[in-house]
Amino acid sequence: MEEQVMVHLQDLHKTFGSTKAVDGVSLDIDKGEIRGLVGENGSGKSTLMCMVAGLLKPDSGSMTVEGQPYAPQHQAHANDKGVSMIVQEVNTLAGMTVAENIFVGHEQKFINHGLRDLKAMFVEAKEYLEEMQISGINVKSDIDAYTLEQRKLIELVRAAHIKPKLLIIDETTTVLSQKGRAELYKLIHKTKDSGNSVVFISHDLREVLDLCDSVTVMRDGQLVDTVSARGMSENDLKSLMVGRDLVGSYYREDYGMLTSSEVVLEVRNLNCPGKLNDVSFELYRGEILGFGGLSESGMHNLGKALFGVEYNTTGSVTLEGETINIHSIKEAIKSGIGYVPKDREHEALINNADILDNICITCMDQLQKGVYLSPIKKKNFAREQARRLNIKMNDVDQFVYTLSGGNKQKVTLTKWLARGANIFVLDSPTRGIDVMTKAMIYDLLTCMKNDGCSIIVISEELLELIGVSDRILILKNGNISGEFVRSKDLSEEDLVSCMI
Amino acid sequence: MKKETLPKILKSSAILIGLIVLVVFFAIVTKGQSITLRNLKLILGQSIILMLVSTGVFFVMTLGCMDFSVGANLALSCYVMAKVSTVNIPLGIILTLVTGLIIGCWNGVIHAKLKLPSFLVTLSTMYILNGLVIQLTASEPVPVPFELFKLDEFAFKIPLLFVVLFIAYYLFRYTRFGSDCRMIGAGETAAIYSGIDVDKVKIQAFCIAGVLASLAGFMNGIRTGAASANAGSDMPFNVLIALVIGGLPSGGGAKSRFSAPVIGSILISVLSNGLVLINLAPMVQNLVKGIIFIVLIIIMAEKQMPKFLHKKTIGVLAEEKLSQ
Repeated sequence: MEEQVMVHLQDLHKTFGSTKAVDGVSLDIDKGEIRGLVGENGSGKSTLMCMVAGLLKPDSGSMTVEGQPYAPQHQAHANDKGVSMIVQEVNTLAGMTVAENIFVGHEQKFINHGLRDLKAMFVEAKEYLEEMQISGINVKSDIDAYTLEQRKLIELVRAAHIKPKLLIIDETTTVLSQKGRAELYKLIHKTKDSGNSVVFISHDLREVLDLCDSVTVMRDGQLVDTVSARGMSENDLKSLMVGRDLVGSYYREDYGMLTSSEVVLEVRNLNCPGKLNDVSFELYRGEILGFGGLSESGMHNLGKALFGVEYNTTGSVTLEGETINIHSIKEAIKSGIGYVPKDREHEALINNADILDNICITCMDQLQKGVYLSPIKKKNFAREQARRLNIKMNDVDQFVYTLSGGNKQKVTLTKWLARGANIFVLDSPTRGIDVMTKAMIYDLLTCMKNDGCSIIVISEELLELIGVSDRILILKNGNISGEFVRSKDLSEEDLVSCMI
Repeated sequence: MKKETLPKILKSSAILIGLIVLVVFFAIVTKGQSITLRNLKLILGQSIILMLVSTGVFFVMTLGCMDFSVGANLALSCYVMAKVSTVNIPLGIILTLVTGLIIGCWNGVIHAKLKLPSFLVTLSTMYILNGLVIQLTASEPVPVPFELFKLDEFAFKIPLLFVVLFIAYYLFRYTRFGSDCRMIGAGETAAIYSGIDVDKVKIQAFCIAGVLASLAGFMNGIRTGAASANAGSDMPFNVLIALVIGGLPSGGGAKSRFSAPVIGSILISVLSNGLVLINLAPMVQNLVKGIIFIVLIIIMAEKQMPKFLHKKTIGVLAEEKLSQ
């Protein structure tokens, strides 16, 4: 009988400092299987898969691929053995061409008498792109010329061109638009049809259930269960992930609640060349205003423009009757706007600093006494604030890069809550965040709303928008193309029809 | 709570241990000569100038920038002092410091407003000032007025040094400015998004570096008695080494500690002094210095990776992400 198992993992362990990231995991992945891998943030999914892909070395345990012992030394080595992985973060090498990025680690086959045959590289890269029907990318261009999504697609090509026996996809769909996702799904199915295997990691449980044959659930570095995707519901998976039953839905359940008619923020004719086109709207006190659209619709730029980051915007923003300078972050902050950017790693947080500094950074005016800034006062303040959202940490002197995605987001929110901001612009607030933290953030939004804060939520997840917003505006090519008021009957289709 | 393991403590105080080892080593080799009061005073006198300059550059490096112009700044300031002091001494001292302020401001404005790499900006400044000083001192060396020589006393220099160190420490540790410097060094984009006026902080830091370099120029003037073109010519590199050896992460950031300029400067002075005392030929001295520096840097490498190693290469990226 032919061997059915593609990859076998035996008792893998990996610790980081005192954290057991992966704690004795054994797993079989069959040939021609699409396996979902789910779990909360920090449950060890990515660590496990990085060990399989040669990005990390296990502390102990063994692996086999098609029955052969397998101990990858690095990523290129894993590729040679037929394992490739697309990681969560953007992972292209800046300053190099698209083609060089596709063949990174595999340049050897283009080397001729010690010289690299760039022409052959370009030709082959182009073939791969065409094969996957990705258009609009010039293989000779610098990778930085492309958007986040296009770069992710290029990574896809990089992972696929070796025709992997095992393709690992870690939380990639969050940055992809519908079209990009379609490409990804196509690649996954093609891999499956050729008898190879796919491991798919995502927080989007609906997507996992739709796509995968079976789903493995992890919790706290250990395997909880592997179940067949057929007949499972999202809630079943959630309770497996959390370890107990979740009650009800985590979205708001009130409908028809009246919001105040007091306008807090009035935006008139906001223009940003190529991104926003005469956008005007009002934000009321205590309102959660959702913005939806395709990722290139300009909605992310809108958030930045309100916070004063986009430098070439024109138009007027009036805050409680006073016009504010839309080119100054400082003024935006002073007027009580808090902005949670989509790019958590670079824009929202200083990863290389501790929680204390990240929280206090916006609150210097409050903490200062003359020019004197008391370290003790800072520490107490940070501790007090960190407790508000229950950030999981040893103490506030823990560095932010050691936190999980959900906890990082809590720190970002804390830094604005601590300042006492009353207008929040949240861009993709739950991107790549686990179920529990998500639910907590939704609760927090409701709390903030009840406290009289006005909140703008920009999100690519339509269900989230429908679930939390009092009103939804849809952007399309920089214009507002639709407006919806909170209602039970609102469906994704309604919104999508305005988006495209 | 965190438990500090013995190797960890050893590592974090590696530089202090290194300093003690050096002192003991030279004391033995020179049969006690190196630890006579006279020699210790000499070391202190030598390290004051370096310490002043490193303290200024410390702020700049905490931002993740570099200032190469401090040596040339020192030389020009020294010239200004020598020239103007012949007319009026207080005016001479004030103009000396103003010279440093202007140079620092120039570096800061060009770097921050035109968004040019600081090492290129300050390198150009270094050449401009160098050329200027060579022109000015070409015909004759410029002597410093005699009255100022009596300031070359520890009774004046040590309190001055302590005042400067105290103010700098206070700025770094207990004011918004110090905190902003560390935050910008740790993550400039996020600092901007948190409302820090990055340009202003950068200009201020370069101004501090400029003023302290000119103060060092003043000290140099009263010590050597004349302004010469090659004063402070190796200063930028000594400062860089002093700070890195003193434990400043070369990318700056949140982990910057104020002990870096103090300990680093003393260590370099002890080393230079010791090598002279054991009668090593100048050529060999550099060789030995270089080897000692690289060894010290390797010892501390783990806790302070230079920024270019932080580049998100595939492996590093995964490690970073997963250590979360």
